[in-house]
Amino acid sequence: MKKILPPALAEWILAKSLSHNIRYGAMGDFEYIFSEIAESRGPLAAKAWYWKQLAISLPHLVLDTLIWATVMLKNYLLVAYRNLYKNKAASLVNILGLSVAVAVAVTGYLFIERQYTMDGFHENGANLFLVENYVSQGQDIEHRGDTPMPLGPAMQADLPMVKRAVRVAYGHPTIKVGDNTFQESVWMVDSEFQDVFSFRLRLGDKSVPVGIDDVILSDAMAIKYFGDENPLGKQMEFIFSDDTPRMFTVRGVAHPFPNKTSFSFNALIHFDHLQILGVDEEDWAETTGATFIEVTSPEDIPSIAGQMNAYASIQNSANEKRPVTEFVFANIGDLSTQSYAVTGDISGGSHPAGSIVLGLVALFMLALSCINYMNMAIVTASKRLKEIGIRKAVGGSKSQLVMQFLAENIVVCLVALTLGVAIAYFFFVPGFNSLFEWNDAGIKFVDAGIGNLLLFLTVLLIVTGVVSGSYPAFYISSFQPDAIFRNSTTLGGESNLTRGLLSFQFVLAFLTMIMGVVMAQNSDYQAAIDWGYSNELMYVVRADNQEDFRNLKSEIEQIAGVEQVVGATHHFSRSWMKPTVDVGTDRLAPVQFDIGDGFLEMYGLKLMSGKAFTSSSRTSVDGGILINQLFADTRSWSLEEAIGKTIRADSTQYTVAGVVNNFVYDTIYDPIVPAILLSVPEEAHRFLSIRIAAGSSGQTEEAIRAIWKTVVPDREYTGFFQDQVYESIFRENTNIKKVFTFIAILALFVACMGLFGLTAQKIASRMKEISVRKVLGASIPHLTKKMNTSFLIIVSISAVLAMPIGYFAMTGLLGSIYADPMPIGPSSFILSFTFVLITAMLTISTQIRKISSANPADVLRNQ
Amino acid sequence: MDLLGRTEEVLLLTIWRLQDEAYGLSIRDEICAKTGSEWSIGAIYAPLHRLERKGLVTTKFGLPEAKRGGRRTVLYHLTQSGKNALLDTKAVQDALWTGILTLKRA
Repeated sequence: MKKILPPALAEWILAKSLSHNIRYGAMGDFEYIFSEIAESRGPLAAKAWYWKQLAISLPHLVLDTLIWATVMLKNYLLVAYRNLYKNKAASLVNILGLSVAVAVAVTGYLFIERQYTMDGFHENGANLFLVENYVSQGQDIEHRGDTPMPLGPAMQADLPMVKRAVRVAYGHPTIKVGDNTFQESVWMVDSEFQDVFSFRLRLGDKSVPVGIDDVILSDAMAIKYFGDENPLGKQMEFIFSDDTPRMFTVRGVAHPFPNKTSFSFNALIHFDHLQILGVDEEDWAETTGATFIEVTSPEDIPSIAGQMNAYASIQNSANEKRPVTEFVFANIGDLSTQSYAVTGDISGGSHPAGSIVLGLVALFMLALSCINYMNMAIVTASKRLKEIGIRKAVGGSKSQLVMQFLAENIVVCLVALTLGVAIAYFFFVPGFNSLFEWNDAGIKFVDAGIGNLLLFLTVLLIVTGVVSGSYPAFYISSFQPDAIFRNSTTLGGESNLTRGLLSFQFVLAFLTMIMGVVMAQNSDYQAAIDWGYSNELMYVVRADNQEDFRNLKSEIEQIAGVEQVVGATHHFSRSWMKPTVDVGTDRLAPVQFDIGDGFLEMYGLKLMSGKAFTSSSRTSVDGGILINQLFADTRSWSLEEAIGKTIRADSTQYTVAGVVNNFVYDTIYDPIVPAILLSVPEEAHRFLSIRIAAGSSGQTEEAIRAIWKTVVPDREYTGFFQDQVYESIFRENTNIKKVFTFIAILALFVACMGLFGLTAQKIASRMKEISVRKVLGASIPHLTKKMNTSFLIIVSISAVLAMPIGYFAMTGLLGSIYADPMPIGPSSFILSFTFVLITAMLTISTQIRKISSANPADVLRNQ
Repeated sequence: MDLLGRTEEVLLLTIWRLQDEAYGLSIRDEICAKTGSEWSIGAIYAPLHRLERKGLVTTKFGLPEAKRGGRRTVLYHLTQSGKNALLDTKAVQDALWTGILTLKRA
């Protein structure tokens, strides 16, 4: 008779849900009763019984299995703890290295997360877009954030998908409250601004529209002007460029802005003040700082974009000098990450290079630490080969061994994760914040969405755990016991695998070191860049109008410590124009500086050909202008050829009178561009450049400030030393240097920990050989060399591999950030390699003591 | 002293009653007969596993049978601590039952 078998699926489920210990007996019982029933009542009843019995047994069995799995896990963890404790050095290397890497990764994550979740607090964010435009500027097309003044209302009226349009225009009034007088930047906004954006009010009612005489203050402004007092209903006096005082009533005070906001206001007033100040809101030739639109759905954007050509042609016929080639839309969630590429953008975002570099560094550090872990795990496993062999011989399954090694790994990773988060929280994040002048606005744990942060940490745990844990676990547990006991499994300090991993590690260490050295050198290089003009002992004061300028000038000239005063309409790094000019048939967009007599001499701008301005040869008199050398170069004029060339701007015709050297017109991040210099009469001057006699700058500044108080008592003081214009850039450079030096040291530290672990293990495993050699008369230097040459070769090969990668990566990176990147020379590499090699040698040399102090008698007797 | 759970006590007593014949099926049959209710196989084996872990019972292989799919029976025996645990539990019960008013079914 053919034997009837139980249903295969049910049997499989049963086998899977039974604990190892009772599986055999229980499955036998199941099958016994099944056979009985099959004999007496037929196979169908038997199968039905099997399924039913499985169903009612399953809860008991699954619970039982789960309970014992937890007990086993506890055992795995206990054994893991014991093993880690036994190999203290290796565990320490692993945990320390990993936690440093985790700390870097967490810091990097917070930084990058901040960048990409900026402005996420606006409730309607998905539907809010900033209208941007591409504007043709001579041969270049500029991506600009300012848009034609009437565009917003026109779009709202014409396009049904545009629910609301809100414009922001900037005003720069002097604000007076009691004795407090400051120059401020305020926003003039359309009345729906507060409905569209989620800036909450601390005081006042958000739903009440801002009236023509109302002002909404930021929290910081309210404290600045009113301190602890309740500012609601208080009066503030605004003086705009028309010099007419206007009274505003405080109607609201905003909550302190969320940390993750890339655009925020000091004060909000009604948009119609533009009209009052004489700007025609209907004029397509005027632009406003920003136009935001709220759409019904983000999917409408392509169809809206398709209808923008009409507006482009209206604007282009109204303003031929600012031809718009295309309107584009940026969701407010993306503003900060792309704002570096947009001129005149409302959002203050930073260049993504920072995120890229930090992200790369975090990845490098994690890779370094994971490799440390893999190397150390494989090497320490050689000590445990006998354990593995015996466990397998007495019936331990491969899966149990894998579990054991994974448990050890999870313990290490969990400890490292906790430690890493603590290091990040207490040291890295505050340290990182203190480098930048974010005050309290830096990266913060509380700002990161808790869900995302936990997700990131879990992924980090799994990735580090799996990446660094699986390979050793599966590799080691697959050894055959007989091979282990025959001693034919060789797993020494050096296999091709560990060699490969160590090389990879040192390539990473070299790369990070090269990055650090290059960034540090570059910041020195940038600090030493010739700005094209001298800035020492130069003091600058800006007046608001012609009369103030004249009064200030005549008074300041009387001060004892003042050597010379010259005037100009524009000023380096503060103010310039960007006209479009025609040269022959080509259109160019140089920067334009209007200067007064003596300006060139005072700032040491060199005249390379032609003649300088004199009081009788002004641009306004004879149309003569100066150009910088780059202007001549872009036209491929030689210095001499340039003289007498004609440049047209609108209806005015200029003649090149001379060529001056190139100068930095804004900051080092902006490339030097073609420039034209016009000589203008004193009526147009606003900036006073004051040369102060050496040794008296402090008291002279005091004197100038005192004069300011008497001449323009109701204006905020505007004086500054020209060399302090660069202060923030220098500080930023110093900080970049610090960050990268720190990162390079960390990377080197982690790599050397790996090297230390490997050399230590190698020497420990070859103690017998060392002792025999010592007995036979080998010297310590000879032994040291014998043991460590291979490591030094690995380090050297890594250096060779890292060189070209480092060169190309850093050239690209510097080129993308700086206008004038430092050329990377051999010194960067020599420095990096010297650092790494010396540290590697020092690491290895810690092992010399072990070799020299080993007593051959002890070692050999015990074995 | 750890008192046995009721299921554990029932299992241990049954194994002791069956002596050399105590394996999953016979234990289950005996318990079903004595308690008058149907016990699933899982409900027998899960506590048996626990008793084995606690060291109160040990197992021994019996003879293979065709009806068990060629598997051997797994015979359960009390260990000394299993016997002690039963005695301890009985002592507590006896102590609690002595000298009290007689319970009556309504």
